[in-house]
Amino acid sequence: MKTALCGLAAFALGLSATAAAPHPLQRDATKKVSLSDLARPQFPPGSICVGGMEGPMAVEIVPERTDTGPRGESLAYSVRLRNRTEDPIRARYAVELVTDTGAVVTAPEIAGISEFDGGAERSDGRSTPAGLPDDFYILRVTAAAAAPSGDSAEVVHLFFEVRGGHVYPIDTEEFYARSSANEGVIR
Amino acid sequence: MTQRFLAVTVLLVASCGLAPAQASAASGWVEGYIKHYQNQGNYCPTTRNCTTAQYLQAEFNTVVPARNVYVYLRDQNGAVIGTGITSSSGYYKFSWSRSTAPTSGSLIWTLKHGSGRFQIFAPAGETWILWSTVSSIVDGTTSSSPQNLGTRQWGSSGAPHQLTNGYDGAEKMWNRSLMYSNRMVNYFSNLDIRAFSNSVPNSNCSSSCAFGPANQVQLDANAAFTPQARVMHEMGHIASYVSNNFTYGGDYCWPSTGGAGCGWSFTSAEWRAASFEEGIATFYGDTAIYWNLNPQPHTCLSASFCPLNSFDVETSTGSGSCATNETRWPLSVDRYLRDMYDNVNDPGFGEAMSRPYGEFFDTLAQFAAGTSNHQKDEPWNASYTALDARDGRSACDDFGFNFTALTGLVTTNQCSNNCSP
Repeated sequence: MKTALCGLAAFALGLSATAAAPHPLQRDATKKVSLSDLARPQFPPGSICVGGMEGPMAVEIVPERTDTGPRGESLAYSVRLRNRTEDPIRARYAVELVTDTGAVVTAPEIAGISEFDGGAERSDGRSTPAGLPDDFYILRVTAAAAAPSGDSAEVVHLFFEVRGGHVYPIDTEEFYARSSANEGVIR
Repeated sequence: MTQRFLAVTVLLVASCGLAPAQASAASGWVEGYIKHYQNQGNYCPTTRNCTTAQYLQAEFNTVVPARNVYVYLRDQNGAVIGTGITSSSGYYKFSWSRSTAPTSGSLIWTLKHGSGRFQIFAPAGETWILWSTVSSIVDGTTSSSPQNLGTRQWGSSGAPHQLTNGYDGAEKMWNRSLMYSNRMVNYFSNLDIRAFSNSVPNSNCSSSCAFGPANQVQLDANAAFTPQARVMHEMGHIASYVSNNFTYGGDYCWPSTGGAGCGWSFTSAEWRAASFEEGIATFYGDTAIYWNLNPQPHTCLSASFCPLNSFDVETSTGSGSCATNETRWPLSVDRYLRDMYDNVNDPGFGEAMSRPYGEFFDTLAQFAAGTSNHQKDEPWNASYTALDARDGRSACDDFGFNFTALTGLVTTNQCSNNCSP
């Protein structure tokens, strides 16, 4: 067993020796190491995607635009819900806004229960508070659906950064690479 | 011997605790705990019978260990100077060495499983680095008196960390399900999990995907907190594949063929090759949470517990009261396999089979190569140019046939009591 662990340790150290690791204290530096020079498995042509099951309701947060008002810039977005099934379903969701370290900016706001006919969809326009301080933010929607084919609950995220007072939606990868989310804290 | 190889060799020896004292000018030991905020759904709620359940409500929304994961100590230049692996309690202790004493450094982990079963990478294949500053690294510490780096935590109740939760789900899948198969111990390794994105190179799945030939799983943008239907399920597909490499012939558009954009659910009617593959991947994932003595194993897509109107896998409809096309449901496959595995007899049906978990992988290995009846690529024509038997590679007919060949047991009751999937 010890031999096996040591072999794996050597592999890990070998990786580190070939990668240019960024200094972790630099907040704006990327926290990820490019391993493009290493042989990662490649997808063979014609691979078949074996997708996971789909819940009865599709949930999305879609950034629409940035608005500028007297208190500063805000992000207009929509919460889109769509009944994937042919049966009527009921759904509700909650929206909350926190920073990358989990500080609450906007406590959960719970939308009313909505009923959807088969295939029906709905889009609710919403907006973040204007003039947020520079930081990284997580807009989180927790949605639950009750359907004859089975209930479900999902959490979806939209990440954005406020920099110099301007709002920039960013993807998951950029959020975890550039925010403080990947920094552990001593407890 | 090149200088680089020499350096790596010295680090390797040091990491194994075998380095002689004179091999480096500075060295020491560190210890501590790695933890994260657990926020995954699919726990067994206190309102149900959780006998032998492996993920309890008490573990939800709380700080838990990052288990069996590689952890590294880096110096002030970012070079790795020591490596360890956390225990089941998140504890680590390992040595480090360097030519001169480091002034500061960082403790990092990269979501790499301690026994090399999987690692979670960024969507494009880059390595995630979760880091924490170490303001000073003390030279001269020993194994019996290591430098204590304390408990370091990732994520919080306000912002549960998606990546650490994804790691936790994958680790549970290995540690509480797959590792109980000798075949998986021998063949399931180095799985490349890409998280979290609906699009990674060569794949665009909004509901996560598995690619056996590439030993790769894609977790979609919303997959972090729904382990049972996502990371566990997709690792189940990989387990199915590595049990006996096969050419997948699933078509999700029953009763049509070949259409695009046809999804599936636990109760959608599917061609049997598709419902079997989804059912067995779900079964492997379910087992990570509910072992064989549990009487109420549930399965669902949920960031909370499986709600009332989800699916009790132990429930059997019976042979005489099946819903229309229930025979084609992935859920029926899951229930058929569960009845073969568990120690719980279905009320009224009297089935008493309870088989070792490893047989559910060994039976797949029992499938002969080829495209004929009961063979592993049955959905395909002989030249592998088209699907000509979409109902091939099914549960009762083909898994059951090979299970009988392996064990000498028949599954007639388990099959008929679950609508003959």
